[in-house]
Amino acid sequence: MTQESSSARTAGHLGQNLVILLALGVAACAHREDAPAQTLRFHNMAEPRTLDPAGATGVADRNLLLALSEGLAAFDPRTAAPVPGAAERWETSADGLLWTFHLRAARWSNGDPLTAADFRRSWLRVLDPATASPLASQLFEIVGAAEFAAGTGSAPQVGIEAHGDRELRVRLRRPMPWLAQLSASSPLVPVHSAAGAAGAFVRRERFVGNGPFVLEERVPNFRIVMVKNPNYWDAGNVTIQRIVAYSSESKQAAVDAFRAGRTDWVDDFPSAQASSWLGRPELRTSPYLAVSFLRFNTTKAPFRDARVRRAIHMAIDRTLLCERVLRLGQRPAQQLVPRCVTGVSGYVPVAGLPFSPERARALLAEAGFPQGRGLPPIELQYDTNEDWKRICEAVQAMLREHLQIDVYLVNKEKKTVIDDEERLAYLGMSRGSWIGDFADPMAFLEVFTSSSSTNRTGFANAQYDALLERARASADEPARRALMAQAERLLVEEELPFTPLYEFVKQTLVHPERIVDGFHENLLGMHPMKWIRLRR
Amino acid sequence: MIHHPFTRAAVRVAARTAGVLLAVALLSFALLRAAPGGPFSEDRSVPAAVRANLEKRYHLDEPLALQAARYLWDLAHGDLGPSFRYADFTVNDLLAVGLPSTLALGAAAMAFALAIGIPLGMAAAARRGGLIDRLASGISVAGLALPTFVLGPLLVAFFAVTLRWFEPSGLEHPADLVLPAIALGAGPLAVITRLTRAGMLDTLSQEYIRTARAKGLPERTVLFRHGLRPSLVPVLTYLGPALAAVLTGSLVVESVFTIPGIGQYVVRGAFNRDYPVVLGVILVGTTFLVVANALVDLLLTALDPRVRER
Amino acid sequence: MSAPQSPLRRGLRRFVRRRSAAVACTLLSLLAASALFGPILLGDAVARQDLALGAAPPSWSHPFGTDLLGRDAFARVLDGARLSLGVSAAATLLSLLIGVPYGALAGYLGGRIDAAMMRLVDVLYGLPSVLFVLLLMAWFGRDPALGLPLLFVGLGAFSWLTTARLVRGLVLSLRERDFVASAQISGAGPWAIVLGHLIPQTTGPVLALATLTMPRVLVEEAFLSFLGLGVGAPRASWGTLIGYGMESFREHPWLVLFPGLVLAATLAALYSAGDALRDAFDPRELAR
Repeated sequence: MTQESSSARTAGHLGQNLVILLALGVAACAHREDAPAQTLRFHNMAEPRTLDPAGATGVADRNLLLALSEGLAAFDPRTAAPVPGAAERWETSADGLLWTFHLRAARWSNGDPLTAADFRRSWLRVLDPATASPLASQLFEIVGAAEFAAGTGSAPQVGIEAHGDRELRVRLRRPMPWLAQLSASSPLVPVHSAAGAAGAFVRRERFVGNGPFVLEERVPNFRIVMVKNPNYWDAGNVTIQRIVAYSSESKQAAVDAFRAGRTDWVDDFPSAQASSWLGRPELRTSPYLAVSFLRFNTTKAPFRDARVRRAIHMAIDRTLLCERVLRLGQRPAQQLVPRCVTGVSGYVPVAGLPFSPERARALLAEAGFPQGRGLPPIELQYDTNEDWKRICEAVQAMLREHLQIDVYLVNKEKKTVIDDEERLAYLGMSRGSWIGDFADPMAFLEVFTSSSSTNRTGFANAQYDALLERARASADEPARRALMAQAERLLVEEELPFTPLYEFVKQTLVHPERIVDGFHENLLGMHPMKWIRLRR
Repeated sequence: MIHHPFTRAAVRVAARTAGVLLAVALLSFALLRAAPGGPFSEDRSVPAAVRANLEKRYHLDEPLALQAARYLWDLAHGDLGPSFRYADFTVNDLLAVGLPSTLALGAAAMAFALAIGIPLGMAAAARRGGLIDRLASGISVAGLALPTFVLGPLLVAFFAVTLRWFEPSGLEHPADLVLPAIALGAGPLAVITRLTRAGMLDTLSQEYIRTARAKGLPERTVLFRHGLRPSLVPVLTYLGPALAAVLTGSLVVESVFTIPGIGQYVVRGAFNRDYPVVLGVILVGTTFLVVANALVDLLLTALDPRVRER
Repeated sequence: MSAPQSPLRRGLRRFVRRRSAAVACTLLSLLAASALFGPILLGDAVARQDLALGAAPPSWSHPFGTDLLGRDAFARVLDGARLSLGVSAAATLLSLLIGVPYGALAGYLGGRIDAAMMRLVDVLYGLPSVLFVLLLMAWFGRDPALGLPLLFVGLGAFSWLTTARLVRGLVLSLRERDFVASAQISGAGPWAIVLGHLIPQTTGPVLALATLTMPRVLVEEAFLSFLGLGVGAPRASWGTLIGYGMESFREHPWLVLFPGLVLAATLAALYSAGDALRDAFDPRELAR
């Protein structure tokens, strides 16, 4: 070895290697792709679970599926109401138990004709026990559906019938006024008969859809690229040529990419950053079909007593919570069904119990805990998330201030929280929320029936169950609404197996100079990309 | 002559890797399955009948021992199983996409840390209390006081959002490696600088170094010929685990820079109860770790003639 | 020359004579004192909310500003010091207590025993701590009194691995030296050689590593409290505070700046204190 330093040589080698590595990279992809004018780039939040309609449970999945396929109905971009999609029109029998959809002449992206049989097969596929779809129960009002899914019935007995190529009939056990909406949603979009093959939802050459766009590229946890589908029936109305949807669980990364001009639209952002965006043209907020609440474990003391539950409910100042902690236009909720359903279903949500520390203290004393004395330790658990943490900390402070109760906060990762809830193992309260599948009060009220697996409060009330059963059986819309309102009053004015906190808003950032038209806010947070117009 | 001991060493490393892998796989499997909740517990609980269908489809209804055996059998055939959370992909798919990104990122980060850390640590030790020593301390403290979840977003905010020199996310262009490599390499850089300096100071106080100096050898010769090799022992031992950590522990960096690597899958997979994904990534990470540690042991022997296996 | 001093006293004298060490120690004791007594003086300021005020920049009444719930950030940093310093000290101590003897013994004994001991380390390295923590939480997480002990277990279970590997590597290179052979000849047993001769020789790198453990522990602690391990909200460690501040670092930079600065100052102090300690207790220097 010469006098030359070996460390300098080591460093030199490493430097050399780094240069080689970089050079290789430069050679591999010489220039970065610049977005053509008609490319929509957006942050779709977490990586979708799947692009298989039968398994697509998340919002991210839905956003993409509704660009890649189209149900019998489609969503109006302004109101999210069902408008003709693959079906030109549909009608319902007087008793609400028979629906007939009339399909338009349309093709799959590979040119095959799209028929009523395709829809029948796709819907049955959601129910098929072999598919094991977590969404199957959405179709259980169809004749024979629940039996088929449970393995006790068979496909031919299910009330989904194709008459010719262009007519689909659906027979129901009980009325389902929201079926048109449901038929537009992602679980009921058609899948091509070749979808069973491996890679059908990943690889461009395997993918077949009937939506305005087709799959081009898919890199898990990075991006999904879609291009315009020339075989779509309404292709003339689609001006976007290409869509790049980035997937990232980091909201910060999404906002940074937006700030750097890399994306045109971000589906969500950390609410702690509200002050940066309030009053800016990029920010779009709108009521969202979702409600936040704290579940009570009604099987354990002290929450066996409805008076204690009511006391907690009345000691939380929701207005302060919305205005000072949440800050993006969330509305205080004293009821379960968000007020935004009124516009679609005509249902007027009930009033609920107001914020009233005096009445809360009185109720607590009546239940045998004056000034909170004698209460066992009460836990408030939440799944780890900065927003939930802030909300729970604020609630904790309010309960201390108004009721002299010390609740302690426990954060856990989500699956542990869900497991605790399902086994009713939590000691007191657990934060939760519910996003409606469709804009009808039933989408919320059915959560707390005694047979609902999402109830998780131990609450079981025969009167409540019976009211909802009667509402389900009713084909008379005003009567149905009245029954549901009666049930909701029982739930939120007397029993309170949970205490509602606020109605969500959808907070979106949209680049006002890139996206010039067709992007609207609606209660489902649905932005059909077919209608979006980019600056030319 | 040369290949004989080398083959023996390679066989030993392979046996050692296989043994550790098997233990890690079985232990992780047990830990994972003991965790509450399952891959299908969601906000929206699925009805019991549907859950039964799901569990049947993924063989989760079988006895645990049978599931473990099934996993090992598939593993022996190179099949790491399906992903529950990313249902359109198998674990093999996810690794095929993620591993190249992770390797590129990890290599760049370690190169950055070593190329700066070792010379800096040596220079600092050579002139104790001097300007470079202070600079090195400053860099070390900064590297440690700025955890990745702080450094990453700050780098993005300044260099990608404000100056727009780099892309805020993705790994499509070699320049995209720069910011994430700095964010990921800053911690190791601090540690390597510190350990090199400490090792060098230790070595320099040894008898034989004093002898060399007394003989009037030039300081450079003393530092590099006699000092460097033994002082690298601490850095080397740190390097094994650091390499593995950089490969599978890059959750934060991958998340901040939206890089589709495999680092994120351990923690996210555990949160999602995506058993095959967690196991697959752990096995890959452990392979790297064991091989890196074995290499380090070999290097230790080469570096310091006094280290001899008995 | 005055009367011979014990090595400990000589080391201590050497230590306090260094100015940087004095500065560092003053800073550290100040922090420790405020961590111990600050919360008593502050009362419930850690949790007291002022929702009407919200996030406000630093002012005379709130020198570090307030967070989104209107809580005083200064009080929260002080309270966090208690948590973070305590946890780091405990975890570092644990890693030394387990890692140093384990690594030294493996390195000294060598051969099959070394191989077996190191395979255990490899296996533990391979297991992700997140799985372990999930289970801890699931089994014991219900009881708020167990928060801190569980956190120590969660941190301690894995933090000794790097120390063990480092010490083993050093001992492998040390054990062939003359002083080990002469100790063996004079009849010293393995433990006596490991404890009396080998471990003292590894002080420098081990101390260097120990001062590096603290920041790692801080980050890990933040991650573990993200999983729910440790003390519950509204109390928060530095790592948690910094993570919380990073969420809105553009909007409320003071929420990350102040805890970050305090953390950096602490690390710098630890760093130079560790350096001075290393010098002061270097066996070769003491021998002179």
